Amino acid sequence: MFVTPLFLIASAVGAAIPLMLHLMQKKNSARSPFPTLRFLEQAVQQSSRRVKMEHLLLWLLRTLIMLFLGLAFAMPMLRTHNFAWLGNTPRDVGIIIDASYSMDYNLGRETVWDKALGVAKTVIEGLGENDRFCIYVASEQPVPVIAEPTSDREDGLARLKGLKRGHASSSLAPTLMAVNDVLKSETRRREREIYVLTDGQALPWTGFRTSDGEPEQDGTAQQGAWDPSSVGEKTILFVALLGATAPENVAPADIVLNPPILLKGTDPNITARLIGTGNAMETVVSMHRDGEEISRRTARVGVGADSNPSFSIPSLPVGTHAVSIQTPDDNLPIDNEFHFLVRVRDELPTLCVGTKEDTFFARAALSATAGGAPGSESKSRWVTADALASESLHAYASVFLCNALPMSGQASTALEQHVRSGGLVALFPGPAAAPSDYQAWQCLPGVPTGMEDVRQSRRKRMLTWEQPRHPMLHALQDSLAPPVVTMRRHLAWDTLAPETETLVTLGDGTPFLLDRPYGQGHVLMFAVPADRSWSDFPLSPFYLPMIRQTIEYGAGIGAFAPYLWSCATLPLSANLPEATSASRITDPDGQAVPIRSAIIEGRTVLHAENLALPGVYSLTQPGQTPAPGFAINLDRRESDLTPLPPADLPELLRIKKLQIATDSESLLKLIKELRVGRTFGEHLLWLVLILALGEFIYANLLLKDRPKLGDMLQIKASGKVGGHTPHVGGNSTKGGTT
Amino acid sequence: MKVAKAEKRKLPGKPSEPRKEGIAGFLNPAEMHKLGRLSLLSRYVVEGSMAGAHRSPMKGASSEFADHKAYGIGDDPKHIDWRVLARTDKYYIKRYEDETNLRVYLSLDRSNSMNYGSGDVTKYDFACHLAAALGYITVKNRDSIGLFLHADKVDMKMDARNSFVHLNNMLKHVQEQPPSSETGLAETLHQIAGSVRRRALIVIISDFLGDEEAIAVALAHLRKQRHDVIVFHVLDPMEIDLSMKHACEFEDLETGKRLTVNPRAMLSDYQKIFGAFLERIQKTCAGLKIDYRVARSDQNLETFVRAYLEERRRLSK
Repeated sequence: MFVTPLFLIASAVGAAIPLMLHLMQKKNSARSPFPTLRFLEQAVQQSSRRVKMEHLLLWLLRTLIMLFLGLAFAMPMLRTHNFAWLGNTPRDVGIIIDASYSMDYNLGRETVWDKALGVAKTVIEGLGENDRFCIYVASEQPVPVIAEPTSDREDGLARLKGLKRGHASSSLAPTLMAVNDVLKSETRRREREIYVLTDGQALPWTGFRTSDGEPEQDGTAQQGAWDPSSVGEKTILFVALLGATAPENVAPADIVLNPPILLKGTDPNITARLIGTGNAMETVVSMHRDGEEISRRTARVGVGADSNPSFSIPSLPVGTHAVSIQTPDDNLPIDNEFHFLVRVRDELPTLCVGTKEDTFFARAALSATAGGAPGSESKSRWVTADALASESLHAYASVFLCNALPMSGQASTALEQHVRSGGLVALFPGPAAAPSDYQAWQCLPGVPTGMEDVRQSRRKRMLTWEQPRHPMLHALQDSLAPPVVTMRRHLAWDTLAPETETLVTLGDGTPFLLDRPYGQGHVLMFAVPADRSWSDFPLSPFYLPMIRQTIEYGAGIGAFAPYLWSCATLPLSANLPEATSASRITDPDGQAVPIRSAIIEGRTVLHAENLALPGVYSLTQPGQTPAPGFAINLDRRESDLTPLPPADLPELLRIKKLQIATDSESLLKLIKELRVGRTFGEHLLWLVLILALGEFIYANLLLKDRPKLGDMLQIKASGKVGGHTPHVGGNSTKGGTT
Repeated sequence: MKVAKAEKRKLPGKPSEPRKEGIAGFLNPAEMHKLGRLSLLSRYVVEGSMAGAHRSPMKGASSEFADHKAYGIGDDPKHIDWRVLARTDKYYIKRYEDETNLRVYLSLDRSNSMNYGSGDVTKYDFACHLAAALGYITVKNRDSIGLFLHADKVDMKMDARNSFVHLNNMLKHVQEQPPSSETGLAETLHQIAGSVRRRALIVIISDFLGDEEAIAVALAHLRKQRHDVIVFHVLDPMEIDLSMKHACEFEDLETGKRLTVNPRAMLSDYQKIFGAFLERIQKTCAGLKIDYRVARSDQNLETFVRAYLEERRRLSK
């Protein structure tokens, strides 16, 4: 295809000019008499092949110069990936826009997100009347904006204008597969183009690296996994990496609160972990409490520089405090603040269940132990098993059952629910319960087979820490004397529940203390009662420390999470147990967060929805003032803006027709080349210039003056020949006469 | 088709002037005055008919002693060496070297190939001019000058005589005979060798465009006759350098054969071939102890003759 095909005639005529000039020159050559024609003939014979080659080469160069010159003016157009006859074929276009919050990176005049929307708008506006398009947003899951291909460009542009960037990470592979499936559903012959508009961050492409599209063991392909073989050969994939080539970003990524359980009078230490992209740099990290800056640190972040600044908050009163770690403003401001809550407690309440006699030693231990920090106490409450059903268990960090079995089904259900939501139940057996009474409990580490009496000779037992690193034990082992107890009877188990750990044994492998995680909580089960009926364990020197450690362990399990990641749905029973259906949760902007209820396994479970906005969410109980409920932060993996090298894309995507553009201009140029074609006029002119230079140099080389024979012979004035003649290959001119 | 300088034969002198004949047609008085001081010497003994300045194979009356000879009947008693008689009591005659005049024969090639000149002067013009200069010098030195004018055969033969009238007539004949016919240099040289019996100086003025081996044999024939031979190889600068810029159709002056070539494209090959040709002629002459000189038609004749004769005189001592 040529823009000005008339120049093809000029090209043909021009190509013939060198030959015509050669013929005309031959015809017009002058005649000259010459005496030594025989030497000329010999020279012609010797040099004819070389001269012909030189002439042929010169003619070829000159013909090509004229030919290419004409062709350059004819301006040939070439469609790079399709034949020209496909020029009028209608096309289906799928546009994928990366909606991760890293698209909010500021490029100066605009953000990457704005740039992507602009490119998408240009792509849609450039479509023909018969072309169709669909728009998908790549978030954690594919979000269709226009699910099925349509030719209504006005509607598409309007929807594009209303698009909002997400607050989470994105995964391009599922979206790309979804768009590919949509385009492949069209069976008519149409060209397919998929445009991926992203910022060039490596994170969204991890799905391509991990999923190779191979079927799972059950023979089905992984849902949303990248399968390059499913992309048809007619589909052209344009990838526009619109972000900065060397982005820089600093963000607080995480905090570590020490100690995790804060009691009144404890000065918590907060270590912030920073994440940085780009060259190592100095930055200032500040901590804010309830909106006021209380501390500031200097840190070095970036490649090869990791420093985690630590902060201390003195004299925090009892209550829940909104704290945040902030980094200075940069090109991606959305991740510069990390929100979390610090809850300071006055006490660690425990509940002791059993008769007065059965709980005597336990109550004594609970009342004597301090709840972690100096000055704080564990507040203990004692109830009988019959009164357990009326207790609100979420107010207690730990529940001690001392020979409390059997108990009512309502009480046991409440206890199981308490464990599932993060509470701890420490179960001491007793003579009141038969082995069958344990079978109704689903959360036990194991249903005991019975009570085993210990012979007199084997009653002295040294307890063995089987899991010395377990949080329940690691604080005990260094400070205690050899744990020797006298055992007269204990529970025996044949089998243990899954995930159950045997923390302490009687030295011969017989379990003494079992721990089973259940839901978000734990169940601790001892082999002996809390009184002296089966052993002298309550009188041993490690009884009191173990009770104390149990309380702290229980408080740690159900410890309040200082922050949560943004999510679509949050179960409130686990994260905000005090919330009820009558409660009101508001987001950082003051907008109400919808609370949904669902019945799962016969229980009513509350969920808060659409928790995408980072910040502190408030909980308002009926008739009360708002209080901090939980803190939401964006997934900080997205803050790592390490770019993906464009050269890695072909290997990742593994499809033939892949076009990569590193900015919007080059993408539009690629699109233009695909749809209209590329003119080779400029390239041909460059080629003509090179050929002309070559012809000039070669022709001048041939015309270069050679030394004259007269000079070489050095003929003196007297006619004497003093020099040498050029070397010749020993031929003679025998018999030649003129 | 253009024809460039196909026929030209211009003798010295302005075109508007009336044509001069004889020696005046070739040499002006100034040139004759300068050339008159020069002498053409033979490197070998020559046989002349008159007393002269050149060594003769005969014993004569010069002042240079040659040898003694036993006195015989018929010898003049005045030549008896009395000192030898007094010492040996035997009669010996004292003999002296004879000195004779030089007979110079000019072999002038008038084949068509000599009618080429890239400039104003053709090779034949230059050859005639050279012949006139040498003839003048020869006669001026009281030696004899003869002529063989030839192309494919000897067209005119003039015996050697010592007179300006003879030289004048000789050059008139040269003027009247323009170049024509093909070259037969070897055959004519054989004829010259056959016709010149006594040892003489043979001066060959030609472009040597003939059968090289036959020419070599003919030159050897001349040397066998004990002639002193000088070869003036007359060449046009265009023949040597082939300095034409553009392609043209070359036409052989003797055969009329035509060939269209671009001289620049094959210049190096031509130079090699022509250089080899010159080298072969030169080696042949060197082997036969013939004085070989290249005479470019574009150089000044008087300078050339003066340089050559002075060098020859220096080498003859």
